[in-house]
Amino acid sequence: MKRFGDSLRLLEKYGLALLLVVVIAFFTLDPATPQFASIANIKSVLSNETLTGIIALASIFPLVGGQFDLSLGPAMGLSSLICAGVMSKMDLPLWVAVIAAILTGMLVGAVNGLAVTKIKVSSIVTTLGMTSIIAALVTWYTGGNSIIDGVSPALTDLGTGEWLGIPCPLYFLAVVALISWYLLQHTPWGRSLQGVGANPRAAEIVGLPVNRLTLQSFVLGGALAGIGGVLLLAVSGSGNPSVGPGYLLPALAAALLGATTINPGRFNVPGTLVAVYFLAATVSGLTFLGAKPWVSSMFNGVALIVAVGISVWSGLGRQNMGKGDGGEDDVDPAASAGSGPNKGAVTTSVS
Amino acid sequence: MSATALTDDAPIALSVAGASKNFGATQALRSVRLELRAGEVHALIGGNGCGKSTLIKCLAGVHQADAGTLTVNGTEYDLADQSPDRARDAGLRFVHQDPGIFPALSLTENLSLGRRFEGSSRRIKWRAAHQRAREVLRRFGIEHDPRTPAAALSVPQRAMLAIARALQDQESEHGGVLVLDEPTAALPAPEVQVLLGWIRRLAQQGHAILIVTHRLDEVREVADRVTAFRDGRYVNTIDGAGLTEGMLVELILGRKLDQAASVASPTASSGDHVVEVRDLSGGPLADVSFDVAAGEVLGIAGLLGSGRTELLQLIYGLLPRRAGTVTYLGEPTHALSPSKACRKGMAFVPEDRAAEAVFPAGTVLENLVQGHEHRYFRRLWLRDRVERAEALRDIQRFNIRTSGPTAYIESLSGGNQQKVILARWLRQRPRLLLLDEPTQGVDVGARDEIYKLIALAADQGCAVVVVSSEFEELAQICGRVLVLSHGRIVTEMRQPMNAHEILEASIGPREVTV
Repeated sequence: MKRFGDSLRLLEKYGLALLLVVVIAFFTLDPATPQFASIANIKSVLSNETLTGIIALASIFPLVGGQFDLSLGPAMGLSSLICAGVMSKMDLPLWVAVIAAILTGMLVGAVNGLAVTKIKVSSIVTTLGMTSIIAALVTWYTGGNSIIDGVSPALTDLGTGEWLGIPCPLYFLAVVALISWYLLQHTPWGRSLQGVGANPRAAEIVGLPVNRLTLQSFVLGGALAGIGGVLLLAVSGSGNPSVGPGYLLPALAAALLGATTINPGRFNVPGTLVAVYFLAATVSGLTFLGAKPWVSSMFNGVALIVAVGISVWSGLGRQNMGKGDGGEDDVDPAASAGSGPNKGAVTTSVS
Repeated sequence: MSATALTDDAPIALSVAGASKNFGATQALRSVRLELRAGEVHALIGGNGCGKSTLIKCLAGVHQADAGTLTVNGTEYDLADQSPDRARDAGLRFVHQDPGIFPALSLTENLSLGRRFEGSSRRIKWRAAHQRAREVLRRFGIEHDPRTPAAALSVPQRAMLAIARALQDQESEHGGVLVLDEPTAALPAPEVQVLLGWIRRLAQQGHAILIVTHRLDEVREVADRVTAFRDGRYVNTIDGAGLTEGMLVELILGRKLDQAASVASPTASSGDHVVEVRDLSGGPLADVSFDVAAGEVLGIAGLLGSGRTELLQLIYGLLPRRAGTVTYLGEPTHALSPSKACRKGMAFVPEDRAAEAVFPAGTVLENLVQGHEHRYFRRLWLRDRVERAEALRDIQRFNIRTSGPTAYIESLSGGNQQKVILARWLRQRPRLLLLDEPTQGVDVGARDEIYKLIALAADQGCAVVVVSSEFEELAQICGRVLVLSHGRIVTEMRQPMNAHEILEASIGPREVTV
């Protein structure tokens, strides 16, 4: 009985990573998709997904605090246009453009965070509205045209370049992931944010600055979206007003799917990365099998819903369990089924 | 005081035999039995985790038992195959701890929810529905128009409305089986009296009533017979007449309670004042003044709505103050927020554990540490090893029954969760401890341990303020009790005092109106 439970827990922990390996092995061995395992495709998937990865990591911060940010994709698009515009329209050096891009992301996050904490608008509504506002700003700023001239070649070289055989953008993702992991896992700030996400009222009573933490989580998410914007410009070489919003859904799907693995029930950085590449590898393989482009949207949408379904379902199962010490001898289902405001960090933000 | 002697040959309304239920490796029920006669009030008692809630959930079809049979009025059912629909068909009715009343809806709507409105077509026949609701309300003694919103009802009336909703479909006015899960947990003493009276009357009409409760005085007062469970096992069924509290405690724990240890040092008030409250107003409170000394355990008594909870919230900065001052450790506290209060060494254990104190889906360790994680942050890294070691130490020190620091908080019983919440504060060595209903939903054994923790904190110089609707508790652990009524302090009592005196002072000169 106990051994069965342990292996179930292991499967929950590493199931998605295992599935990623299976997907890769399947498409590598399938004679119908010889290009899947080609160096070119691997590099393309790895570097294309850095942007999804960064937005997924950006979305984790508000999610841990119990809030959604649906405006991170658009914010990344806006940041990349600002970055391009500062160089192209204002003729300012690259470093100024980078700072402007990151500040743009932070500003978007700050407005979201203030609306959520001060005016108490639900984060879904706030950031959905923000998505539309950003779309309007982008059209106003660009007139619907791409910004092609004047982008620093140093930046585009970085976007397309390699170092030690690995695409450069991947190093950026690695740095962002390390910072996110450190902040969430190894600082009191991350743990406090988790408390806010699990039970804001209790967090307030134990003395946590709930509003400040929530605001910070939005600003930090926005800053990462700003970094994503710089990287987007570096990879694509020009500021495209229609790119950005499309990154949100796969990123959110990855963040939610990531919360079902590695550290199940929690939004976590390694889980998110595994999920990003699981989704990307599957979509890439299906494309080589001849799937139409709409399949990827379908797949990401299904993944998003399934991810939340899994969290709810496994969260319920976890209620009567220890995290890793096997059985528990003082179970009172009455107490555990109690009327808590929510069950599980993941379901919190979704409900 | 146990009422109407019951004839032994009254028909058996419900019996359970051989009910077992496992949750994973945990045996929550081990072949328990239970028997209810028509017309009796039967109390089911036991500590947290004894299996009584599990049995109720199996009866209601929320859980399926692994084995066991249920017989209701002569018809046999398989408990392994129980569902909410089947429980309903068998004639079992349940009122859960949270009565599930919708304050914004009318009484008619509250009665009709989950049943079906009058009229089989799509349109609701309001006239007929109100008419039927009026009859049901009259039958259960709720003197209100069916169109009034449920918000207009008093708290015990709401509980009664839930009972009425549960029993309204009974063909006759008797013969039903009603299961009440902690119906009085949220009620203050006088209101409890009213509700218990109604329950007795229902039994006299012929209903069989099973009542699950932690309050032993209620058991003595209302139960014809008492069945006790311990660790998922049936212990005994005894007659309610002539029971003493000590006998009940022994039945629940299997041992006697260490009475001497559970009394806090009642006279400790020699130290300096930790808190001086002057003319404090806010929420329902007006012009409240008192002091709390280091090492003192001060009780706050009062009825529901007297402002007892708000008093603690005002001190802690959870509610805005209208007027008055709170001086803490010699300094006035203005514009206090919980985070400032907490940094200054105040601690607050709220009444609603699930909603305001527990971090769900978190581990025991996270729940212990939440709010002061920064203490483990050294050289840019959260020192999880130190954190874990100290969590282990505190699990032992505060006698928290759990498999370890990484167990999920929800796997603990209510009493042990409460010990975690207390430990969260006590490990920070607060100067002022504010406790709102510290033993609500906690069994006798854990209750005793919580009293000891309170006494220990006071011994170490902490000033403690306890709000409780259980006046026995205040009389037992407090050196001094302030009685609140309608937002004002009406009396101050000192040891020796007893629960009855506190109750009388709380009700005061005004009539008990319900």
